[in-house]
Amino acid sequence: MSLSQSLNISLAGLNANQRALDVVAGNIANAETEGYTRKTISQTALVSDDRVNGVRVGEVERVLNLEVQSQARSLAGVNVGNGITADFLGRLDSAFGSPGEPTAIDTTFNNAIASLEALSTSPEDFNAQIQAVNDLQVFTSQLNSLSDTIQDLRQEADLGIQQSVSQANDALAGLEEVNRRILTNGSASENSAFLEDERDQFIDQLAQLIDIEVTPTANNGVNISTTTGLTLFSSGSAQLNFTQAGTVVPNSSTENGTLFNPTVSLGANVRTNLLGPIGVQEGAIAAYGELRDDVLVDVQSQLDALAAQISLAISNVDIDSTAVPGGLAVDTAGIVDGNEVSLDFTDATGQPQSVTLIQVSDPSLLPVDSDFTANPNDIVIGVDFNSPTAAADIQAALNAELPTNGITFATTGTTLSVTTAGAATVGALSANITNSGFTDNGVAFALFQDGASGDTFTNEVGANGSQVGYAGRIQLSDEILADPSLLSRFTSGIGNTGDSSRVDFVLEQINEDLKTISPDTGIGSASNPITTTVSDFLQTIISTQGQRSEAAQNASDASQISFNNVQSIFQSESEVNIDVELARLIELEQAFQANARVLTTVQDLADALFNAVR
Amino acid sequence: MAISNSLLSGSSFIRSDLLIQNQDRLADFNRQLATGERSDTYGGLGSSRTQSISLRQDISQLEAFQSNIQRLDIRVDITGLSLERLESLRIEARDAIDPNNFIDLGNGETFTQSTADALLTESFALLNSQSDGRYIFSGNQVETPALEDLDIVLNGDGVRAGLRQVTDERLAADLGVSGLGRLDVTIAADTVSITEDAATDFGFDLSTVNSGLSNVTAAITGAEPASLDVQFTGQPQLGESLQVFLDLPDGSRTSVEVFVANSPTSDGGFAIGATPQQTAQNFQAAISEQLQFAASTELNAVSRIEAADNFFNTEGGQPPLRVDNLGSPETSIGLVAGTPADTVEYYLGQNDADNPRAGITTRVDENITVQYGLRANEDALRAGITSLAAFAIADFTSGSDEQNQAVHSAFASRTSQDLSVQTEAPSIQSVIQEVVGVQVISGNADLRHSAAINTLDSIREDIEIADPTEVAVQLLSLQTQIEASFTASARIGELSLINFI
Repeated sequence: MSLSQSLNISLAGLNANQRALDVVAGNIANAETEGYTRKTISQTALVSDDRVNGVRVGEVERVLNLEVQSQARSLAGVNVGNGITADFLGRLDSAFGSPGEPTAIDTTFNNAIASLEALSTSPEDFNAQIQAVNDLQVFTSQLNSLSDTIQDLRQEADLGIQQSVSQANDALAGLEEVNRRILTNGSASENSAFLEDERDQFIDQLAQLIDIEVTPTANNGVNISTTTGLTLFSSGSAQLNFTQAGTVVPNSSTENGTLFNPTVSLGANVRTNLLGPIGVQEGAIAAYGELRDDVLVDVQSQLDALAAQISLAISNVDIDSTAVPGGLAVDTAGIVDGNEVSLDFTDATGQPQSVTLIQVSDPSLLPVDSDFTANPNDIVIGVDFNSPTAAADIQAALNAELPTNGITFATTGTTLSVTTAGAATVGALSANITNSGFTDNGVAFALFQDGASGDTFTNEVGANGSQVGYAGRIQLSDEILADPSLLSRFTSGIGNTGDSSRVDFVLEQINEDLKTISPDTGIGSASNPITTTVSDFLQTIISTQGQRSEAAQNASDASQISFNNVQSIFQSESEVNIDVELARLIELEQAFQANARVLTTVQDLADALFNAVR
Repeated sequence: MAISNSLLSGSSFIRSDLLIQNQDRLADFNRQLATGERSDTYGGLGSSRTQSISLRQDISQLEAFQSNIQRLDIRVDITGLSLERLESLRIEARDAIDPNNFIDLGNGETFTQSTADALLTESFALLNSQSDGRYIFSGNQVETPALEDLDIVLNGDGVRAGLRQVTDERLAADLGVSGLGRLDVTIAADTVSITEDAATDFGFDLSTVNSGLSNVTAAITGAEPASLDVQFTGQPQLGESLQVFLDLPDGSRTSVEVFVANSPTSDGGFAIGATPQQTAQNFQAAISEQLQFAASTELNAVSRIEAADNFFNTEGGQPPLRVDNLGSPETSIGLVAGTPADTVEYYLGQNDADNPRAGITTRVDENITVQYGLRANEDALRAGITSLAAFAIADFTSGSDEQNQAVHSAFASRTSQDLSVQTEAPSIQSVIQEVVGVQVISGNADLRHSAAINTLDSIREDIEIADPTEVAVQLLSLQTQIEASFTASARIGELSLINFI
C-alpha cells in the first residue's frame, strides 16, 4: 500500500461525499416540491485482494414504500369519489331547505295544506282563495326549483366527467412521455429516480379519477389498467373519449342518446364504456357517472312521482264497474291519453292476474313498457279506447302475454265489458279518468297543469306529458290562477259558494288517498312497492334524501380519514425531513473533513518524506 | 450522530387535516350557537330527521285545525246570538198575538197586526244577518242573503206573485164562487142538499152531521164530492137543532149549527113554516147564512194560514205551492208548484234535500268534522215568519165587527199555537242546541290540539334545537383541544435542527 493509494482512496471518499451532499442539497431544495420523494445514495467499499481500494458510489434511490403507495392510490380514488358525491348530495340537501325555513319544501307543502284547511272553513272567502292559490304556487315553484337544481347538478356532473376525462388524458399523455424517457435512459441512470417521481405524480392524478392497478415492467416501466382490467397504459396510452351533453333535462339519459358515456380506446380497438360493467368502479369519473345517471335521477323521479300523484289524485275520478252477465263493464267515456283501466281477474288456471290498460292514442308508442305502472306484477297493455278495434286489440295483447286468460273483452260505445268463460272469474274492473272541465263536472278538477304544454297532466305514455320531469313542469292551472274561486266553486254561474266539498275533496286526496309509488324512484322495492299518501310520500322523500346526504357525508369523512392516515404514513417515509437532511449534512461535513484530513496527512507524510530525502 | 427517524417523523409532519377538521367543527358549533339549530339541512339532523319532518307536518296540521276552530267560534257565537234573538221574537210574537186583543187602529190594521209587522221586519233582518262576512241562514250560499226583500215577498214584483196575491187566490179557491167554502146549498121540494162543488181539498169538506130535528132525515152520501141531504118529511119541534161538522183545509174541524126558533135569528135560528117544504126553505136560508159566516171567518183564517204555509215551505228544495188554474181560482181543485218566473221565492240560499246542517262544515280534527249550516226555510226557523206574514197581511177590518172579531180570534188562536213550541217538532231551541253544541266538540278538540302541539313541539325542539349550554360546553372543550394542538404544533415546529446549527 502506498501513499498514492491512500490519496486515491480519500479522493474517492471526497468524491462520494460530494455526490451525497448533492443528494442532500437536492432533498432540502425540494422539501416542499409536490410529489418529490426523498432520495438517498448508497455507497459501498471497493475491495480487491482483501484491501479497500476506494469507495463506490451507488445510484440515487427513492425512499418509497410501494405497498403504502398503492394503498394510498386506491384510497385516493375512493376518497375523491366520496367527496364528490357528498358535495353534490349536500348541495341537494340544502336545496330541500333548512328545517322550518319558509323555503323548505315541507314548509311550503304544510303551508299550502293549512291554507286549504282554512279555505275549507271559508270556501267563499276571496282572501282565503288567494292565500291558497299563493301557497300552492309557492309549493309548485319550490318543486320546480328543486327539479331545476337536480338537473343543474346533473349538468355539473356531466361537466365533471368531461373535465375528469380530459385530466385523465393529460395524465396519460404525460405518463407516456415520462415513461418513454425512463425506458430510454435505461435502468442504471440516476436520472431515473427523478423521472419516476414525475411519473408517480401522473399516476397519482390518474388514481384520483379512475381506480387503477399499476404493474411494474422491465426497465422500470409500468403498465396501468383499471381494476376491472381495462388497459389504460401499456406500451402506449389509451385514449379516453367523452362528448359533453348540451343542456341536461330530466328526460336526458344515455339510453335515449341525449347523454353520453365516457369510453376508453387503446389503439384502434373498440371503445369500451367506462361507466359500464367493466368500467370504472371508484374515483371521480365513477362518482360523477353515478350521480348523473343514478342518484340524481332517482331523486328527480321521486319528485316526479310526487308531482304526478298529487295532480292525478285531484284531477282523476274512479269510475266503478257495473255487473253484466258473466262479468263486469265500465264506462270509459272521456278517457284521455295516460288514463288507466284496471282489471283484476282469476285466469282459467286459477291464477290471480292483474291487467292495467293504458289509453294511448298514438300507435307508434305501443307497446307500453311493463314498468310504466307502479305495480310490478301487472300486465300493462296500451290501447286506444277510441279505436273501433279496441276490444280486439286488448284481447290480442293479453292473449300474447297470457294465452290461458279465459276472459273476453267487448266494447259497446264507450263501455268496455269483460266477461269470462270456464273457470276464469272477473274480480274487479275500474277506470281512472281525468275530469276535464272545472264546473258542473263534480268536485275533481285539474288543480295543476303541465307547464310545458299548458294542458292537464294525465301521465301520458311517451316523452311529452309523461311523468319524467313533471316536478319541473308542475304549476297551478291557468284557470285556477285566472279564477281562484274555482278552488271551491264547482258549479257554473257567478258568485262564490260556501260549499266546501271541492276543498274537502282536495284535502282528502292529499292526506288520505293511498297511491302506489313506483319502485323506480328508489323508494320501495319491486316486489313490495310502497303505498302511501301524497303527504307521507313527501316526508319519505325528504328523509330519504337527508339520509342519503348524511350517509354520503359520513362515507366521505371516513374515506378522508383513512386516506389521510395512509397518506401520512406514506409521506412520513417519503417526504423530505429537513432535520434528517441536516443531520445527514453534519455527518457528511464530518466525513468530508475526515477525508480532507486524510489528504492533509498524506501530504504531511509526503512532505516529511521529501524533506528526509533532501 | 444518529437521529432516529421515527422520532423526527412525528415532529415534522403536523396533521394539518386534523386541525382543519377541528376548525370545521368549531365553525359548526358557532353556527349552532348563533342559529340555535342543530343543523341547517335535513341531512344534518341525523336519524331523527324523519321524526322532525313528520312532527312539523303534524304541528302544521294541528295549527290549521286550531285556526279553523277560532274561525268557527266567531261564527257560532254570532249565529247563537241571532238564534237567541229569533227565539225571543217568537215568544214576543206568541204573546202579542192574543185572540182577545182585537183593537182596530182605524187604518185598515189592528194593533196586533202592526206588532206583527214590526216583528216580521225584524225577523227578516235577523235571518239576513251576517257573521264573519257570511250570511248565516243561507246554507252554503254564504254570499247570498237568505231572504228576498220583505216588500217583494209580500207584494210581488209586478211579474212574480208575492204572498198577498197567492193568499188572495187561495182565499178565492177556498171560498168558491158561492162564498160558502166550495159548498152549494140547493133545495128540491122538501129536501135541502148541501153539496161539495168538486173533489178538492179547498173549502169545507163535509164530515158528519148530527141531527136533532124530528121528522127530518139527514145523511151524508158519496165522497169527494160528498153531499148532505136534509129531508123534511114533517115538521121539527121548536128548540131542536142540527149540527154539520166540516173539515177545514188544515185538517182542523169546525161546525155550523141551526136550530128551530120562533123567528129567524142571526145565530142560526129558523122558523117552522106552514109546510115542511117551507120549513125546508127556512132551513136553507139559515144554514146558508151560517156557512157563509163560517167561510168568511174560520175558513178565511185557515185559508190564509195555509196559503202562507205553502208559500213559505220550500224546505228541501220544494217549490212554493199556489193555487192551480190561475184564471179562475174559485173553481180550482188543486195546488201547483210556483215557478221562479211566476212566484217569488222568498228564500234565496242553498236549498236541496241535504241536511241543512251539512251545508257548512269545519274540520276540527283529523276525523271530526262539525256541521253548523242553517237555512232560513228550515221548519223551526220559518215558522215565525210564516205566521207573522200571514197575520200581517190578513184583513180584519173589512167585514162586520162580529165577523172581524171572529176572523181575528180564529187567526190568532191558530197563529199563537203555531208559534208555541211543539214537543216533537224541531224548535229554535233545538236548532240552537245543535249549532252551539258544535262548540263543545270543537272546544274539546282545541284543548287536545293545544296539548298535542305542546308535546310535539317539545319533541321537535329536542331534535332540532341545539341546547346552548351543551353547545357551549362542547365549544369550550373543542377550543381547549384546538389551542392545545396549536401549542403542540408550534412547539414541535420549533424543534427543528435548523435552529441549532
